[in-house]
Amino acid sequence: MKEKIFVIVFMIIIFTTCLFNIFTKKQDISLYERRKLASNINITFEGLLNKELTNDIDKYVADHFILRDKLRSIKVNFEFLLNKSDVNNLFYYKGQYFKYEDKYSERQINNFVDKINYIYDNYFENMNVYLAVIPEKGYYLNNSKYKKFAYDKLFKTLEGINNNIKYIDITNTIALDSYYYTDHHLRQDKLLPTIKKMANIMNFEFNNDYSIDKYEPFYGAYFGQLPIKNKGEKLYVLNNEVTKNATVYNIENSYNKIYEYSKFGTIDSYDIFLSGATAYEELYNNSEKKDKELIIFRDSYTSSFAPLILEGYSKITLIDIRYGNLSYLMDKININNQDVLFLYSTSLINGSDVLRTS
Amino acid sequence: MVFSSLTFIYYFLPILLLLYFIFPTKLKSFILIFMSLIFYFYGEGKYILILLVCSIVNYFLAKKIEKNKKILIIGIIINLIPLLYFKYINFLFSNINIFLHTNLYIKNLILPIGISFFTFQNISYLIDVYKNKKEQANNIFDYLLYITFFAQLVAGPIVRFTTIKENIANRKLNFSNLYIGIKRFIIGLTKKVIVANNIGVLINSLNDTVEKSTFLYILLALSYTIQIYYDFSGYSDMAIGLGKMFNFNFLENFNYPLSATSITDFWRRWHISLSGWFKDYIYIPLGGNRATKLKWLRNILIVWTLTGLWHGASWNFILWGLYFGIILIIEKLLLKKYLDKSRLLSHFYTIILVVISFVIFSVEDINELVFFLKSMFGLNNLVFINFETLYYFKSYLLLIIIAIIFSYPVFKYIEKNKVFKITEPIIYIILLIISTAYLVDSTFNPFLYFRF
Repeated sequence: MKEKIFVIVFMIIIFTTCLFNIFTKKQDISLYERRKLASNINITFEGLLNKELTNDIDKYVADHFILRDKLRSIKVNFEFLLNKSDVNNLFYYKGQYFKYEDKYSERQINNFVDKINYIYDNYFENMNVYLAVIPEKGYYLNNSKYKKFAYDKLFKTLEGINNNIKYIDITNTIALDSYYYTDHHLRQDKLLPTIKKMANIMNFEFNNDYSIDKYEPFYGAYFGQLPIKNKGEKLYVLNNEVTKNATVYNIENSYNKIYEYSKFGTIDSYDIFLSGATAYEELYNNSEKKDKELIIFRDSYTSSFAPLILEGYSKITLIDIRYGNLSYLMDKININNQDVLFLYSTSLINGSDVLRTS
Repeated sequence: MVFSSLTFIYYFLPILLLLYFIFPTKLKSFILIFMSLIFYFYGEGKYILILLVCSIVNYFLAKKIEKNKKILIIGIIINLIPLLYFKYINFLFSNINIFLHTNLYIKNLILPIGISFFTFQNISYLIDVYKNKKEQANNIFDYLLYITFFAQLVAGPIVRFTTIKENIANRKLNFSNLYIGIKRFIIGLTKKVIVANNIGVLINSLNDTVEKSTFLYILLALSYTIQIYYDFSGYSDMAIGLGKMFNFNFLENFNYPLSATSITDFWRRWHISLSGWFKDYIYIPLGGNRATKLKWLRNILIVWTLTGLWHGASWNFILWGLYFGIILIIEKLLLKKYLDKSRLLSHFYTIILVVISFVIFSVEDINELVFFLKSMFGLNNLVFINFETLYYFKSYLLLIIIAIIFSYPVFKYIEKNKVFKITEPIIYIILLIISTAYLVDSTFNPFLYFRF
């Protein structure tokens, strides 16, 4: 009897799974994993012979498998049950999700130094130029169980950057709780001490007077990659008259507000800030007339910084040379003694090959 | 297609079972052949023709063989041509290039999956029929089912026709066989997906580590052993289980080889179908041990060189085969009496040699291999252990311990436990779900023995 029941249960599992897999409606994107799922398979005779088709089918089957998110969660929880320290380089410690940085790349960090020096030498010599480096949240993790990225070595290498570029050390104005639990980005409500420090050094006006709006549930980048919890967190958005009245010129899309609230609940809710990172953007302060302009060389972290810095400038130009070539983007700027800020995260510095300076 | 894939478990298998159940008994063999060809075509596309042509030619040659040695030799050569071409021609060319400074190379030569396995099955059939006409298949479809049956087609075990001759005719549904087969399949799936693949991830992480240590190399060597054993024995379990579901009784391919007490004992337990094949079709025809000592030594070295070559067209595999050949000779001539004295010490000796063997097996470049072995034995001035090695060791320790425990015959005792007997269906279903979860979120699912 036991044998028959077991065989029947096994058959039910594989047959019903097969039927559900075939007949359930397919999703285009996975919000949890923040990625596009495999699209419909293109059947060609050539693909059939060279295994491309079968690879596509296997990928499609895995991507659209029923209860995919639940099963992924089972896998991750089982991995931790096996006492693994991390799963796919991600781990969870005291409520925070962490991801290990890529392997330390001496070459890419040195390249970053060369690239910044190149930009300075070719475009901004004798102007007020600043560099601030945002550490990944692992920088603030003090537990000997986990691997530590060689941050000290990275910061030491950055000393090779031209001395005329003023370095703003923001590591002591940020703490572990400054980051979202499920994401690598910083909470905007925790940025105020950092902006204040930058304001002091860069000599721009900053009043520190903001209202805080909260949006939930916010699922950060790590939430779906390490599916161990089912509850999101709050996304914090800071507003004052400057941010409310500001306008944005975006080279790639028609969004024209500092905060694009329609982005909340999409594949990346963090895109609420400046509607996500794009190659070239101009932010205009329409509330107060200022005699200063700023150019920021950015990565994704800048999206929550720039709205708060705008208070001190009449215009901020954001350049993201991950998505556009340096000379092409610089052609759009009329250099006229603006302040310049290189604001980059340690993970970008360690992967600086993506910066297109030539 | 691999057994440890979602496509196989949740599409191919239910469709096959459905067709198998609804078609009348006399058509079930055709369903198995048809679906087996789809199974092979899915993984190997165009090479299905080689499989079919070799099998059909072999069947008709066997029909004509009638103790005719010429036909036997022609048949063996015909079977070996595709294997030699696809697997060894570029290896041969690369060695010729070294000596003659030529530039011989055939581009885009991909090894057809399972060619080493189905070639050996075809040859064994030919020889068996040559020796005894009664061993012949009743008809071409029985023979095609023997060769193409998906469960053993791509990675063994190497099944003899005589082993399953009776099974081929038995196409009736049998719940008991289904029960045993499904359980065995899930055990194999678990071994492959949860243990072998996970240890594979550890191996990648250790290889990527910048600052190496002596202990890292020891851990890597141990990991290679665990990965290869769980990968291949897991696949064999799945194959045996799938065979059982369709009333085929394949012989065991592994018998806890990592619990062996000598290398001789190890090879009685490891890849049994391959060592049996070499013994019956190469070693004994060469004269086996019933010859002069010199010829006996020659026979052993020939068999083990070929065993190495069978695993891959690379010098490290030849070295791997010879390594075992030489140890086996030493054991037979010198060590046997000592090994019989203490099981524990003998086992310790065996494990060390086996672990070293899988380093030779895994590291193809000879210079890297020498570096690896020196590092493993602390001869490269590396620190003994560092933070990163310790990190991975701690992270995988539980899995390694579980893997080591279950590489000994503990499961035989667990199976007899009353509580286990009651709860085993639930345990197997849980293992199936966890394995599925791994496959859904899988970025790492190679199958090591496919390359052979």
